[in-house]
Amino acid sequence: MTGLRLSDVTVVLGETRVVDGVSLRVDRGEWLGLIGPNGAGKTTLLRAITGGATIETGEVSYGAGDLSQLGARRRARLMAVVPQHPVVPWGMAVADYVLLGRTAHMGWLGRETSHDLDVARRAVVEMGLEKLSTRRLDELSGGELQRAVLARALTQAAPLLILDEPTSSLDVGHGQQMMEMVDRLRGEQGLTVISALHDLTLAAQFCDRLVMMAGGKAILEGPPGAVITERSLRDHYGASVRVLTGPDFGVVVIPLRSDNGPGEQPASLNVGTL
Amino acid sequence: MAPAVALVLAVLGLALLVGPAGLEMGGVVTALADRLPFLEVESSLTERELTILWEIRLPRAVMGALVGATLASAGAAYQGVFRNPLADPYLLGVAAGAGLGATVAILLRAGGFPSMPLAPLAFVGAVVGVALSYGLSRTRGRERRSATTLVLAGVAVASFLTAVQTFLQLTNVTTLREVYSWILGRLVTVGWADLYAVLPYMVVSWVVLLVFRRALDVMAVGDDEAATLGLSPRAVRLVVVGAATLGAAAAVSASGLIAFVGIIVPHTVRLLAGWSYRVIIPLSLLVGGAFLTAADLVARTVVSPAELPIGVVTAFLGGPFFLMVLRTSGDLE
Repeated sequence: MTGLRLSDVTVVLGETRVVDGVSLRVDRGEWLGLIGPNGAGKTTLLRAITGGATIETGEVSYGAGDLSQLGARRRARLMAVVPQHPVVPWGMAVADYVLLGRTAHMGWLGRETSHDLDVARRAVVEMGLEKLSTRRLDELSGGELQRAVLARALTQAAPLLILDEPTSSLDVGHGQQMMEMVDRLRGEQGLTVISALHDLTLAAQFCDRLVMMAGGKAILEGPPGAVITERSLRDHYGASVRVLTGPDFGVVVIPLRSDNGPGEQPASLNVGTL
Repeated sequence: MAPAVALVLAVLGLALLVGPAGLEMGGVVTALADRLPFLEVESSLTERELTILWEIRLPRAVMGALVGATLASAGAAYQGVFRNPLADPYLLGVAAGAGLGATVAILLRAGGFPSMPLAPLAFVGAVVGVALSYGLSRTRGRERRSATTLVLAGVAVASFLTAVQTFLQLTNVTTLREVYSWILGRLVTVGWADLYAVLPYMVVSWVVLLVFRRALDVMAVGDDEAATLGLSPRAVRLVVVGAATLGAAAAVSASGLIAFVGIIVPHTVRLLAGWSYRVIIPLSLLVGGAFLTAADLVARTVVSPAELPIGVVTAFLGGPFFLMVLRTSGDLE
């Protein structure tokens, strides 16, 4: 079933075509990962979808509807966004922050109904934040904050979840937990997920399909193993890597040192122990 | 909320009792009670004392409360939409713009338009003031902008508008005296008619700010995120700034330039009651009313029988308070 579709989308910032004629589609229930070197246009492409960037030419649609016609309120009911660097408002408690996700469902007077409170409470439980719900946001650790942001996104009850580098500020354990949580939510609630991802290994493990961007264009598209290759990383990231694939771990990218460092003979690594 | 209401009533009561013509408490209470529906009480106050109570002290105390409530809630609202803890009607050039507008109105009155009302022109001036301040602060690159940028722009705009206003004042010496006392901030000549002239603007301002108080909480996450949560940040900013500016202009046209109320009150409320504008806006209305009535009480008693301009009292308290907020504003951004 067709979910989100971008056709020939171009975004110009200043003089630069930061997103240059990108077309792609994301089916409902699918997880699409955007990868690519720094400055490739991943974040701007996400902003073109969320309405944060002005689309010069092209169209973004969901189902049968053109998203450019959508007001902020209707858009917020369609897609929830987890930004890369969420703003942390001073003094706000976790429970109140999560409840902000209900904004698009409230009337003009902004009174929460018991249903709004229920939805927020469920999201808090879902993200394992019960014990932290009265804590101040500015007192949370990076991983806890990321869970609070995800809980806020959940309360929007939107079918599309958009994440910009959700693991970039997390350590390997918290990053993995974050991805697993998103995957579980996707299964339970039938969400369609689009995320820009920095970590290629995680991207390959969790995404159904990847799009590699470079210079504002979508260069490669396909299943993770077809997009993350030694050649594509050399050509578009300027990286010298070895890519290992295996049935139990997906794709692993190993950077190679150009001098006589320990990465000189990666071929001797025993793949089975990884 | 209840303690704040009690505070307002207590301060208002005190303002009615204290003054050069000593009115005794029992008489004031019975005179007030007599005005209540279904109550007939004989007050012990003389005719002259009743006139002092109804025509001098009560309108002045009520005007103090209205102006204080309006300036404090406007300050809180500016702080919310600009996400800037230092925003205040006085520091944003709003008050100076309103002052210029009101001066022009006073000149027009003297020059053949005797029925020229102050508030509409004060509002035009106030809008010009805040638009210039905000516009100038945005000309600085995003990464070099901070809480103080907006305030510096506001100070520059205020100085400029005040210079224009002073020029007008000095080239029209006949009206000099009236404008001069008004610029320093005063509640002296307030009667019921002055009060009714500005009340509608203030009420509109309060109602809009109260309706938008949850939107102000959403704005705390920044424009980008507020938009993804379903709010239009520009629309919210336009409506809230418009309402706060309307109220501030009405307050300035009634009482002159009274600084720092919009900083002192909301920050005190924040310290006591937390971050949420759902609480800050209504509490700022109440505490602001009590604060300015009390400040006026101080202004007319410390050098009795003379009076200090009320702006002097609020600036005396507000200066040090501003420095404190400036020192801790890193936490608030």
